Amino acid sequence: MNSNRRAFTLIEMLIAIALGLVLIYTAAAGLRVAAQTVTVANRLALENEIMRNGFEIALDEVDLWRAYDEPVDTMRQQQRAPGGIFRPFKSSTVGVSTTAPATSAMIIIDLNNIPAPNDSERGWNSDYAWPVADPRTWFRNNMAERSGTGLHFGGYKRFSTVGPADATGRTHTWLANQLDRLVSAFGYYGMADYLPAGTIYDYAGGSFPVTGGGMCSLFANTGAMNFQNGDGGADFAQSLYRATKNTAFAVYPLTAATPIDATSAAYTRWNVGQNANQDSTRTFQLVTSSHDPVLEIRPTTWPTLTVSTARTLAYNRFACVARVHWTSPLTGNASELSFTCFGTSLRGARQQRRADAGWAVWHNADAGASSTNPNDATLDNAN
Amino acid sequence: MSPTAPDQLKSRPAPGRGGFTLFEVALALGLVTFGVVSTLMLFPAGLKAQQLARFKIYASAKALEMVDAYNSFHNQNPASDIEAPNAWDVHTTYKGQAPDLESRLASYRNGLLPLPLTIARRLDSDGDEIQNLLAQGGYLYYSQPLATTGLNETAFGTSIPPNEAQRLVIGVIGFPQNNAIPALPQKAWPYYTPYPSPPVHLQHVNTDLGGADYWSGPNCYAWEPLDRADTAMKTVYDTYKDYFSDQTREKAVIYAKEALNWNLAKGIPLTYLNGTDKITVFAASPNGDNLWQQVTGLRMWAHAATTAFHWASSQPVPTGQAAPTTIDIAGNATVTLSEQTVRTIHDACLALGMRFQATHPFDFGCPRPLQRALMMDFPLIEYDLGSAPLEGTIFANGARAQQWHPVATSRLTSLGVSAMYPNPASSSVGAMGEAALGTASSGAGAGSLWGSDPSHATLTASFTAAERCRQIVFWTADWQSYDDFETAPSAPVDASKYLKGAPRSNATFDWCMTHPPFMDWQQYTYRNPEKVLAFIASNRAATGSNDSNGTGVHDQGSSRAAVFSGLYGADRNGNGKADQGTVPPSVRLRAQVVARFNYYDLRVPAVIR
Repeated sequence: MNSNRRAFTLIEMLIAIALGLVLIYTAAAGLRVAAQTVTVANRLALENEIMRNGFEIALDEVDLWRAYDEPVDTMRQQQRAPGGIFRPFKSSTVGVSTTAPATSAMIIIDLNNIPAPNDSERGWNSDYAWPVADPRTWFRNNMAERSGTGLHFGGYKRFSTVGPADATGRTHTWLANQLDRLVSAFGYYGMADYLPAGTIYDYAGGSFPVTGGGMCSLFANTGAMNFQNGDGGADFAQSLYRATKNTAFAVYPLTAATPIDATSAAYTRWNVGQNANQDSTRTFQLVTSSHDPVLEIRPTTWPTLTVSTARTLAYNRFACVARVHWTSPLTGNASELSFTCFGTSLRGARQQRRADAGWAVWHNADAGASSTNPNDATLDNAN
Repeated sequence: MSPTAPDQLKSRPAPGRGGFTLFEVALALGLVTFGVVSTLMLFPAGLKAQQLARFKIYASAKALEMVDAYNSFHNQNPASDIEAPNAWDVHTTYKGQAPDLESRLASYRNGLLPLPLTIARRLDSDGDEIQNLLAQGGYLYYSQPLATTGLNETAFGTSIPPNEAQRLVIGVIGFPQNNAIPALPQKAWPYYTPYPSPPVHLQHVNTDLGGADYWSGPNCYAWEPLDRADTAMKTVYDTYKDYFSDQTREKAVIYAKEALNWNLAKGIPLTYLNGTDKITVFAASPNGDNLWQQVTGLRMWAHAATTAFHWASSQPVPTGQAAPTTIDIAGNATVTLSEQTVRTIHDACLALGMRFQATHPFDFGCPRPLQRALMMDFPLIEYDLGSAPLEGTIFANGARAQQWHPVATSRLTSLGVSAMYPNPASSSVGAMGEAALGTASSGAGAGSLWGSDPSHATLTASFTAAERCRQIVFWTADWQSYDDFETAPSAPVDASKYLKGAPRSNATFDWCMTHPPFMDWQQYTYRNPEKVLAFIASNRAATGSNDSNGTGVHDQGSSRAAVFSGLYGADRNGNGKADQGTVPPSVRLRAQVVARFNYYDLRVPAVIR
C-alpha cells in the first residue's frame, strides 16, 4: 500500500467529526445569539433613537413654547387673539379689567428716555429689572385692607391706584397699571410669570375718594373669577405662595388632550392643592398638557411615541412637566420618562417671537435703538 | 524501533500534497472558535452601549429635574414652628431646610427618595464608591415614580408605567457645609411686616405661649418686641389697638399723636415728620446710631397719619359746611396733615424702609418690608465649630442636649428679642430675651449665645472648588428586581425630619411630639421622604398617601413610629400594590456609573426665573 494514500484512522475521523460538530455548534449558536443580539440591539437602538427624539422634542418645547404658539404657522397662533398669552403688547387692550382706560395698550418703556422716576409711563421693557431702588416698583397699598370693607387705616388709593395720575395728586400709578395691564392681557399665569418674585398681587381699584375697601376686585376673593383662593378667609393682598397653595394657574396648549377655551381659562383657579382628588388632578392634567403626535407615519414595527408638556403654577412653583411615552408594538411594553425642568418663561417665549411672524433675531450688544443692526421687534416691544 | 533516515525520506509526502496534522487542525479550530466567540462577544457590548446611552438620557432628565426642584420649590415650611429658646428645641436648622441639595430634595415632594439601606448595601460599584458613600453616612437615592409637578401628590393615582428614571440610583459625593444654617433658631430672621404699619408684628400669637406676657390680648397680634424697656412703644401700640377696636376720628388722632411723639422723643427731626420735605436719606442722628428707629418711627407715623387723615374726608360734615381738608395733630410740635403731607410722609416711610433693607442686612432693628422680599434679607449665619458648644436640656424632657454657638459673617446689631419668646428668662417655657440673644451689653448671659471668635465665620471666605463643589453621581442597577424591593423598610429617617412642636406653657414632651399636626401641603421637607408611598400596615394593603385631613393620622406620635420609619416598606414603583422581584437578597448586583454632574449648594433662598 502506498503510504501517501493512507486513510484516516477511525479515531482521527471521530475526533475530526467531533471537532467539526463543535465548530458547527459554536458557529450556529454564535450566529443565533448574534442574530438575536443584533435584533435586540437594533430594536433598542431604534427605541433609543425614538426616545431620544422625544426627549429632544420635549426640551425644545420647554424652550420654545411651540405647542402654544407656532411663529411660522399662522394657523397655530390662536393665542395671539384677545386674551391670549401671545398677543402683542401693543394690541393688548382687551381683557377682564374694567379699570384700564380706553387707550390702555401696553406701551413700551423707552429705557433711553426715562426721567427717573417717571410714574406716568406704562408698559413693559424686558431690559428693565424693576430695581428695588426705583420707587415706582414699591407696593403702596395697605395690605390689611379688605375688599368691600371699611377703610380702617385710611384710603390708600390716595397713594397708588390704577389709571392715570389725576388731579388729586395720585402719582404712584406705575405698579398698579403694570399689574392691571398684565392680568388683563395674559390672565393670572401670564401676569405672575412677568412679575418679579415677591410681588404683592393687589392694587387699589375703583374711584377716589371712596368709602369702600381698597382691593381690586380682580385680586380679591369676592367671586368665582379672582386671583385669591380664599385661603384663611383672606380677601386682601397675598404672596404668590399663599395664592397658589391650594389652587393652581396654568396656560393652555393648542393641543391639549382635553381642549379648553384658553381665554376664559386664563382666569381660572384649579383645585389641585390640598383638597384635590384624583378626578380634579386628572382633569387639570388633561387640560394643561400638550398632546402632540410624533411619528404618525412610521413602520408598524416602530414604537409609538407621545410627547407632552404642561406649564403650571402651584405652590409658588412654575413647573414645566415633560412626559415622553413610548410603547413597543412588538412586546407591548410601555415606558415613560417624566421630568420637570427649567424652561423659557412666558416672558422669554414672547421675546423669542417677532411681532409679525417668525422667530426674532437678536444681536444683543448691538441692539440699541440707534443701532444699524438692531434686534428684531418682538411681541413685547413692537410699537 | 525508529525508522532510519532514508526511511523518513521515503515516507515524506510529496511536496504540495502534505496534510495538516491533527494538532494543527485542532489549533486552527481553536483559533477560529476564539475569533468567532470574541466577535460574538462584541454584540452584547454593543447592546450594553445602547442601554448605557439610554440611561445617560435618563440621568440628564433627572439632573434637570433636581436642579429645577432645588431652585424652584418654596423653601419654607409655613406650618412648622421656627423658633425656640434653645436651638435643640426646634427643627428648622436641622437638615430639613439646610442649604444642602441632598437633604432638601430628599422629600416626597422634591423627587428624591432614599433607597432602603438593606438594598443599597447589596450594590457593588467601581472603587466601591457606593459602599464608601454609605459608610460615610450618606444615602443612595431613587427617583420617585412621578415627575415632581408641585401638585398635590396625594391626589395622583398610580403611576403606570413607572418613570424610567427609577432605573437609576443616585448618590451625592462630597459634603455640604452642614454648619451653615438657614435661620437663627432663637430668632428666625428675617421678620417681615408691611410698610407702613402700626407697631405690631404680623406674627400670630399663640396663646399657649403665655399671652399674659404680651401687651396684646389673646388672639391678636403681638407688637414688635424689639425693646421691652421702650414703654413709649407700648403707648403707641395701645392707642392703635384702641382705634382698631373703636374706629372714630378722635381715637385715630390720639393714635397719630402718640406715633408722632414717639418719633420726636427719639430725636427724629420734625422735617422728617411734617410732610414738608421729600425724604430719601437718613437724618443725622442726635442719639447715635438709630437708623432703625427712624425706619420704625416713620413706618408707624405714616400709618397713623394716613389713618387720622382719613377722617378729614370721612367724618360727618355739617350741612352747609365744606369737608375739612386738614387735621391738626397736637404734640410737642404741631403737624397739619393734608392730602399732600400725608403722601410725602408715606413716601418717606417707604424710602427709608427700602434703603435700610438694602444697606443694613445685618441690622435686625426693624422688620423687612413685606412688599419687597430680597435675598439679602437672609444674613449669613453658621454654627461655630471652633468653640465649645452650648449645653442644656431638651424642653419638657430633661435629656442633655448640645448645639454649637452661632456666628455671623458680620456683626449683627439690634437683635432685640424673639417674636415668639419675648419673655424674660424666668418664663416657664424658657426665654429669648435681650440678654440671651446677645443684645444686652452687660449682665448675666450677655452675648453668651454667640461664638466667641467672629473669625470662625467662613461663609464669605474665599474657597477652592474642591472645598465646596459636590457631585451628583448616577448609576444604573436593577434594584427593583430584588424580591424585597418594596417590602424592605425605608432607609433610616433622619430624626430631624420629625416635626416637633416648640416649647410652650404647660406642654409635655409628648404634646410637643404630636404638635403641630403633620400637614402634607405645608411641611413637605419633613417626615419620611417615602411618606406618600410607605405602607401603613404590615398587610401592605394601603400606603400613607391618604393623609389629606392634615392630622398626620398615620405617622405622627410615638405609637405610629413604625409608619413614620417606613417599617413596612413602600410602593416604590407607584403602581398601587406591593410587588416582589425575582432576585433573592443574597445576590449582589453591580452598579455601573452612568453620569456625573458637579454643582454647588445654594446658600440663600433664590428663585430662578
